[in-house]
Amino acid sequence: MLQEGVAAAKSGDKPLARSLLLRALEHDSNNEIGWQWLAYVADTLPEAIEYLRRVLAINPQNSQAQASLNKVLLRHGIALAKEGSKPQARELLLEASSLNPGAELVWLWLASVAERPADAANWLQKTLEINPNNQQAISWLNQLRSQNGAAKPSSKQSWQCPFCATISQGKLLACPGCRAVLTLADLNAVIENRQADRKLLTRAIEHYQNLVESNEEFSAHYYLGLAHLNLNQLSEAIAHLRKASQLRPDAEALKTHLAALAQRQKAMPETFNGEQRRTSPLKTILVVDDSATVRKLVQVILERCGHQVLTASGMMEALTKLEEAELDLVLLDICMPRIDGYQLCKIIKGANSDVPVVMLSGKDGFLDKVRGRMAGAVGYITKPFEPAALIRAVETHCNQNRPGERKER
Amino acid sequence: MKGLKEAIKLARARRLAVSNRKALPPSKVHWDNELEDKLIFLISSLEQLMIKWLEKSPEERASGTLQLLAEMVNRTLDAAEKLPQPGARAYFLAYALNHAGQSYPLVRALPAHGYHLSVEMIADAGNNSMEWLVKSRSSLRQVCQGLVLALESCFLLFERFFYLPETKERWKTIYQILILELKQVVVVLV
Repeated sequence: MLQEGVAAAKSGDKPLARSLLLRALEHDSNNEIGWQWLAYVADTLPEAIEYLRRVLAINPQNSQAQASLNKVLLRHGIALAKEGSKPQARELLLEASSLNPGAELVWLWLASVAERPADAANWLQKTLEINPNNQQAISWLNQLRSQNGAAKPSSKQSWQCPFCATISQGKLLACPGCRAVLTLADLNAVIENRQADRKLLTRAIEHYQNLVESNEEFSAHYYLGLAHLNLNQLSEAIAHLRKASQLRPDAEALKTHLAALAQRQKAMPETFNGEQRRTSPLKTILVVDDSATVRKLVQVILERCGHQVLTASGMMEALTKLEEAELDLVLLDICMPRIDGYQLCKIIKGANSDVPVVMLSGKDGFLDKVRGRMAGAVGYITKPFEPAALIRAVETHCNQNRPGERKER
Repeated sequence: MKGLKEAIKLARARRLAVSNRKALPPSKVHWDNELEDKLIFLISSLEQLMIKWLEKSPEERASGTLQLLAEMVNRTLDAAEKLPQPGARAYFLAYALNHAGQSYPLVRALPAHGYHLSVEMIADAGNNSMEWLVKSRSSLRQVCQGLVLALESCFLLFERFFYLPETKERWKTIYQILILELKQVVVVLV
């Protein structure tokens, strides 16, 4: 069927070729030639783009497909730019620019669909790096600079907000445009900032995220950290500032701010897109499971909510951690080698410990749950588990165990 | 040349993310969290599939290894289908088989239908055209190792759908543990 499809494509019968090739590829989705011919007879540019992407997924070295993809991306990107669909055009042209960064036309068209003047200026600059005599780019860039007035690169007094490109005379504590606090010097001011324009900051985060994807830069991580902090997203902010600190280990002030932020993280509830992600204060939870995968899954889910997670793969390790740490909850697997979860639960309960135990098991029978209860477990989570179910169970059972009620160990 | 390869690699990674952007919620953090939750459930399901298989008798385990791995790949492809990119399942299957096929060419011979590996045909390998697979221990081992690599390739593709570096990193640590456990199991049993 593939050969018939190719023959139909060669004879110019595109609809027949499409139909035959699609049917052939349904049975052999790994056929590079098939996808390439399908791209050739595609009805629309988006279809051709999709098919060529598949060719490159199968064989990234296919230079013919690379060149074709670059060409169709540019064609479709320009068509969309002319229609006024700027975001879509930008995406395609950015992709084309990654495939062929030396194409002057791509950068020029990108500048025409730029979201911010700073991006347009940047892309025009790239056009001029390739062709310094491109008159269109020169006049456009001059126009942009004159519009910004104080934004002339030679002006040492002017300063541009890294999030919304608003120009000001000198660096300010907060940007008058997006109202983001622009320094970590006053942590309270950043963390308690409720005035920041969330939309502008979210866009800035996307911009810097794209930058760090292609090149790990100190400034990009620093601004990502600052932007997240202005949006009260403490965990994300700390992660990026940590990365920035790793990239520039001599930045002592940043290290001090990071330490202060880490302390605050423990003290304040984390927010997630403006919603409360965690309702209870930090808890310490022990996960006992012989499967390394399950231990890791539980750890990731609970640490993401800010809880501290300890892990143990068997009885001895679990009992040692139970002895050493002040636990708020134990999550206990039932099927383990040497000793099962029911027995271990009885041992934990027998050790004069009132730490609640929740069973975590692939067995979901009624009798299994009853056995868990009889061994002293307060809850039962069935594997496979959804993160939300695990978080719910942990918060329910952790809150039952108030600090004042904990027995002396 | 190396620079060009890097650029292509980056472009492909960005392309996957970019092509979905229209369907995404405004916040990438939100997207990352939702995807991570779905993938955590997937890994938890795959781990349970493996555990249930390990509970079987040694004879059943040895003959069913290939079936188990094919089923794991299929479940992962089902998860890929839920991504907003059209035809993600086909794309994942093509990528995974091609990637695994470079190291374990026999994987390419596995029967696939409707962008799924045909588990039934694999299970009945002794009685059909797949007889070669069960008769030679080395072929069986090669295909099993290839399927683990195919699974890892699918996980690697999912990694590209995350925006935040920390979420990518976290996802990588999760799936690598499962892959490691699977590799150990395959080495011992096949």
